[in-house]
Amino acid sequence: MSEPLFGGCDIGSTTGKAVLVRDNSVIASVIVPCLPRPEKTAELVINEAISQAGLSSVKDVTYLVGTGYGRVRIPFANEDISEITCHARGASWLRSSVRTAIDIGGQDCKVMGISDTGRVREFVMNDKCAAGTGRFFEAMCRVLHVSLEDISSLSLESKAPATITSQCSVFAESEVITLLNEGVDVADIAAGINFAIAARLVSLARKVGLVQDVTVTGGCAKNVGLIKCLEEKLKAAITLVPGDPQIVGALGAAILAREAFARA
Amino acid sequence: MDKKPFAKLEEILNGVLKPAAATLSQNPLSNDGPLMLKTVEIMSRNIEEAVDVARNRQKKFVWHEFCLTPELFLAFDLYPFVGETHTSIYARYLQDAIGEFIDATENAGVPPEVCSMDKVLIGAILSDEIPQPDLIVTTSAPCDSSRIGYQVMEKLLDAPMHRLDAPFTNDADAFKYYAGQMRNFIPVLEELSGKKFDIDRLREIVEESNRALEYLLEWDLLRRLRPSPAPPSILLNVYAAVNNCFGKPHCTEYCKALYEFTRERAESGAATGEKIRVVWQHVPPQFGDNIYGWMADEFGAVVVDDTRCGYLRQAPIDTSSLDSMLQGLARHGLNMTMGKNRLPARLYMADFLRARQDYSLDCVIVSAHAGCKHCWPLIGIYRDFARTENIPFLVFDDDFLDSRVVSLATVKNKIEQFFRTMKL
Repeated sequence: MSEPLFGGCDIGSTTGKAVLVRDNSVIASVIVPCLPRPEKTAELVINEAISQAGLSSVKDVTYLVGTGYGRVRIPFANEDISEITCHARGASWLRSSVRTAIDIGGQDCKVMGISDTGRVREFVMNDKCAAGTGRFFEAMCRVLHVSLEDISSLSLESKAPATITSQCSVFAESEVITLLNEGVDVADIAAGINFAIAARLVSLARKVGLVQDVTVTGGCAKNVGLIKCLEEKLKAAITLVPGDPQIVGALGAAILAREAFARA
Repeated sequence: MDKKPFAKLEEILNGVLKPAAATLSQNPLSNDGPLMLKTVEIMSRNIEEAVDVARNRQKKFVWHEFCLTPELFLAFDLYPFVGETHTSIYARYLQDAIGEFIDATENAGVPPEVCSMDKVLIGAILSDEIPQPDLIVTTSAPCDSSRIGYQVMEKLLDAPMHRLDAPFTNDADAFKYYAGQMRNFIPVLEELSGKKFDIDRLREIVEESNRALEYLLEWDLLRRLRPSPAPPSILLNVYAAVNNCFGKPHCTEYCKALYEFTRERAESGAATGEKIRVVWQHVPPQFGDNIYGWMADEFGAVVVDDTRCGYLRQAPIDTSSLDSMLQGLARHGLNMTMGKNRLPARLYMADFLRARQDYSLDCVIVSAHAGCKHCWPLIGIYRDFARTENIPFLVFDDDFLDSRVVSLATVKNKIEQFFRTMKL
């Protein structure tokens, strides 16, 4: 009999992620852009993960946990768990020394204080708007006519980061347009954007209390420029988890699936 | 066109509360229905009375702020009205009016960062919702926003205003000092009402409010039981139901019903489904669904105490002399809603500690009202304490009156994430 297979499916606001775990190893991980309906995204991403793992059906997965905004709409999930718990568990599994995780998702951001046992000790979420989220970056990329990857690399080239004070993405967009009209270098604007987001995240992180090691999860963790700005603002080193930070929530879900199965 | 005062309050009465009472009297909908009906009835009665006095002027209309209770006004047969309490009623039953009032205030030049409670009241005045008062009574407390707000209201209403000086301490000397302020206030009320002060009439009214408070104290003890027999959805409305009518027999009747209903549930051992005991600091969102009812239904999370119900936990007043009555009324006024804002943070912390001991809480939720400079500085202190004591603690910002600031869906999402993540 083959070893049991555990799955995590994280249906966020902009992407769907799936991770399959067997024998304490990740055997598949997939990220897809979200479709209009969460259940369709879930089917798409899990089928791709199943295919990547060389399996034939989601029925091959022994136990699967759903997470993310669309977690309750995942038809094949055995249970659903909040993304805060999943990100914390995923980060902790990848790097057991992590005590603070900052998750920058497409639609919100969260800071989690993590206990020695990998449990969430405390958390805080962003509030009223897109400030500090992937949506903010998307809006800025649209104005600058650059990709998300460009924001990261441009930011690192900046000599004099521009000041962007607006937390609101709509007002920040206006600020960026003004800066462009004033002839400010795009690299400096990109750095300004990263610093603006970093400032918002630092404010959240301080509410939870910053305990080392600090890591960043979610798609925006791939923005090296942002990580640098965050380190500068936090006055602390950020230790990224090994592998793709965007799948940490789905991975945590898979680990929690394994734990739930073991308890059953 | 002249608008009738309290047109929107009347809309709430006829459009929401009376139909709700009619429905509940036919079909209680749930086990809590009979008590919910009584709650709707007392709120309806209070609003009916306010609308009647505002339009027919059979009594002088006195607008008084927090830090005062109704008894002294009732002793002169005046009609006391607490505008602040009614902001919750507008928010709960006519949210559009909140937006309308706030927009009117901000359009008139009041800064948006001012507390929405003051903005709603100023907007209600600008919109001719508030009747012309015969007297406005305020104090040097409870908060900086209302200090500015009341100056604006005084100007807009062009009504006489009397101010009492609220002390910055909360002991016997403080109550004595404030009682002196109230004693000096008696001639003002005599002149307004055209009646001589009658100590026996005041005693009668204070004895009436004492009876109500005794029921509330018993009710408070019942809420400490685990599981709590008190219907959580009612807790959201109790404060708005009773705060404006202490000293009136119908208030006592309601408090009696509240206590008896809860006691019967405790005695019968009715299942409450309580899994999580929550103490809610500050004021929960007043708009949309009943947030306490939702928490209980969805998660078995029962709010056993909140800040406003904490204010109702007052020892009865000694009615043996005028001094003892005034000092008792001073104690009640200064410890009533927001009255404690004038005090050092350590006294708020004492309440927090007491809540922990008394209600065997599982977690604390703090909704930090935008514009409240008294609430925000306490959050760090609460949080540090919760960390030290290992109490799960959720804090989020909102505006308890204005759903446009943080939606109920966002609030619910945070609460859900909290319960699920902390595995409560």
